[in-house]
Amino acid sequence: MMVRSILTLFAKSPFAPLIQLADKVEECCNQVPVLFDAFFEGNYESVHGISEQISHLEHEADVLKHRIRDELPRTIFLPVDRRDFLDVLSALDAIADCAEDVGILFTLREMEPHEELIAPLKSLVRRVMATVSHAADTVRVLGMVAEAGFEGKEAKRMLAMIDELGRLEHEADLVQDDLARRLFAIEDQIKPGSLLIWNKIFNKVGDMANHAERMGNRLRLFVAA
Amino acid sequence: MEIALWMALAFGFYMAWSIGANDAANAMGTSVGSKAVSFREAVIIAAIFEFLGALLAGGGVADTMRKGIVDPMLFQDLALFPAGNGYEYFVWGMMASLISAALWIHIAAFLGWPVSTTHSIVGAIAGFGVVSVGADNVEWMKLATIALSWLTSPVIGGILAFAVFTVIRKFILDADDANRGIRIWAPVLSTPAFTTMWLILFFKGLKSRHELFATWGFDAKAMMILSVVLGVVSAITLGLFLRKTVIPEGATSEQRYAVVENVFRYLQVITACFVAFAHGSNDVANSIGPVSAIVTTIDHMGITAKAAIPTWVLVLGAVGIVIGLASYGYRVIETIGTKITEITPTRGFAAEFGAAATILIGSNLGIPLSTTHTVVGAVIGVGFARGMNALNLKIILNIVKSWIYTIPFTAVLTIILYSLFTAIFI
Repeated sequence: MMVRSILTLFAKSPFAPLIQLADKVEECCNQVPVLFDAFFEGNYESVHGISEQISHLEHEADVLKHRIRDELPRTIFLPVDRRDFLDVLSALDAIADCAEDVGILFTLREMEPHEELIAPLKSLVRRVMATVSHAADTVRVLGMVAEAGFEGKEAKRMLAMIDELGRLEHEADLVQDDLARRLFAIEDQIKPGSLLIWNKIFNKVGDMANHAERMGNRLRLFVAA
Repeated sequence: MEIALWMALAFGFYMAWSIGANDAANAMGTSVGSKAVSFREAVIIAAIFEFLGALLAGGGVADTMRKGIVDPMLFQDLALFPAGNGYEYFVWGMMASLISAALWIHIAAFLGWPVSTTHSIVGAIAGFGVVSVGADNVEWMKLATIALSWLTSPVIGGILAFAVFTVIRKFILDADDANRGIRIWAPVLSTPAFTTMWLILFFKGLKSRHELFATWGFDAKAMMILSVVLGVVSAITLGLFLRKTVIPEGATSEQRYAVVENVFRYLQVITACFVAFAHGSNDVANSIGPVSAIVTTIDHMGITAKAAIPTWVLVLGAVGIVIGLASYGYRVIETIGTKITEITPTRGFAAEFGAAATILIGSNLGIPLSTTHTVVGAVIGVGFARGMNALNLKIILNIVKSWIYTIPFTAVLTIILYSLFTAIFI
């Protein structure tokens, strides 16, 4: 159509796709407890299947991330700093990356469950998932925060959620440290290879929460005056 | 000279058509995008208010086009035109301006550049002035004022929109008591719009009754006061209607904002009318300014100092805009409406308020400014108040580009056409 139009002024909002990405990342991470359950049951076939599923979801999240990035050229003017936005994007993506790594670590070799580790591991996974879910919830309120113009009560509510995110991550950290100590307490009973992989798994699971917290801290900059 | 008359009508109509087909859509885009009005309603509102704006308030800017940049009286000067037929040069010069502006707008539409019809015609008339009566006789101060307004009007529109959205955000979106926020601030924000409409009705719409009013002792000052009073009364009436909207106790943020946006959907209908009116009043001049100059000159077979713009010429411009809207503009509005989905009524209200107020001020001062660029400025103003989720500022680059190209192109083309016409017809 032949027009001298102002249409090009209006760009697509990146906030709705960001929330979509948070949903996808959460969906991806939700497979991690399922993966652990399958492992505890000793169902290694299922572990492989779930690991693949996680990889698949992580890839979908990647596609979403790239699509959002592609629609944010330098000329785009957002109500938040564009770099902060991109930081949130990459932190969210990093959570899913860690979930994928956990899956892959389980498939490197058949791992043997140790009775002493099962309960604290379940506790760690539960706490990390609480952190990740809370991070996704925090992203989901962005729609309302944007409607309110990134200031006022909605913004304060989001800040409170981010504080809570920090607290959840700290709790996950404590469990992770405890778990590492328990692991090395029984190191003589574990094959060196397994010891290495277990340690990596703990770290990757813990990193899911770390990246969730990092995402929250980037999100904080959205509403910083 | 009869051929000149017909050519003037044809190209004047083309300009008006193009304004209706294109710029009206830019003016209405934010209303349709926020779903404040349906695409059909937008076309109807635009048709009615563009027409009224052109007819009632279009004269001021048209006069600037007609005699503000190049003084027509110069064409009676025997030192400049010894044969005493200066008026013929004036007619063909205005014709050349009209045609080159129309051509440039057509080219811009092909390129998709947000070129302003106003800038095109002003540049063209300036070119005509230079080639006909010499650069010394062009009203450069007036031209500078106009050119300055192209920079200031988007900025003023932006500042107003910023202020309005900040008020909405602070007192309505973030109010402790959202019900009270809406009931108090929505009428307050719409008071200026209502007052302006009453002012226009009294000063422009009922102009022919002014003498009768005077015999009743109802003078300009009284009209002003009454307009303000009626503006406030209209706003209070609106406030009474808004008493019915209730945000329930303990409503979630989603529910609260849904009610607020819904109220602003209604308010945006008011600003949509406001914008359409302002656009008609400012932009009709681009087509009928030169046409009325040609028509009145041919009518008198000479330059007349104070010929009023013939009403039928204003009607021609107004009808042209509406036909442009009905034949092509509706499709542009539909396209813009479906593509701009990222704007909500609170944002649309703020942007339209800022733009319309700025354009109307310009119209009243007789300063031709670009409606489209002012709308862009107002939307960016809301963006600076953190009200827009994503704007592509690349359009600013395109606007600056169009500023740089428009004036030289239309000016030079006018000079060429002027030489051509005067060689053929005089």
